[in-house]
Amino acid sequence: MSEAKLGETFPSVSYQLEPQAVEEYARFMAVTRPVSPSTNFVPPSMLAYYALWIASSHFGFDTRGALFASMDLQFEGLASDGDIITVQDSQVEDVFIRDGKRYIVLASISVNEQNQVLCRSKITAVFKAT
Amino acid sequence: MTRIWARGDKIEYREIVLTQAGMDQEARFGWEFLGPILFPPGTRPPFAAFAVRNVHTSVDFARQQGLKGTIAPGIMFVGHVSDMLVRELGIAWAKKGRLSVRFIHTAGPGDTLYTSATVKAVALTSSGNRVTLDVRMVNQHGERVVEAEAEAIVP
Repeated sequence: MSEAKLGETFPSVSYQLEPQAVEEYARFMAVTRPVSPSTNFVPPSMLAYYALWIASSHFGFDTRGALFASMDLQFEGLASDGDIITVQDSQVEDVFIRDGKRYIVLASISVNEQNQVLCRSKITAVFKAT
Repeated sequence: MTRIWARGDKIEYREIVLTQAGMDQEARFGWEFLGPILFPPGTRPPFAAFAVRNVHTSVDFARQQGLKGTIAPGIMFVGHVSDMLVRELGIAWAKKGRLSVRFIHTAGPGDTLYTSATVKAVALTSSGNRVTLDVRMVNQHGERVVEAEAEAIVP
């Protein structure tokens, strides 16, 4: 992945927000659950969490010194327990070298089963120069 | 009761103490719940094999990568900051909020992280007040670990 090219795309990945997963996520992250007393919406960071892991899988779980430098999130809707989320339109949006390190920006969109956009994410990974 | 937002207002959030056990939990969660969909069938390694080649769970591997020891996944910081934003900006942020995070400095087991925010701007819009926050997370030595900007339109 550190050789990723500008515009390169990756397949969509779908997952279900299983209630057990939501509860475990909230526990180990020590985040508010439920988000609002009157709702069962999942913590918004959970969408970011899954998007990051999916990005890591596109990087091949690269372990050659890859780190994440930044993350940009734009939430556009709430996800609920049981929702099936698809992370789609994953594309390398930018590739650049700074201070001898290679940066790759991967953009993705998380949608629900109704194709409603819930979160737009951009994740910048930095790789050691090769 | 409607909250009054003013430029310069400060928010202090609870501190977190990083532990290896907490980082192991994160790795196990990802392996358990995301592993089955991210690894092609039959290729997901056992957790122990996954953990020994991971800078978040293996000291030896982290050192091979030039780090002093294991480092916490940046997403744990995002989760913490996000939780502060849900509490402070409410569901408006969860529904339509924005967050830009920069990971400045690594942190690992034994580090204590302090999260705070300052109201950078408040602007009246037709839907409410657009509140922009400068968010900062520092370690026990005062080093910046995370810098972020968050925004939401609140009632």
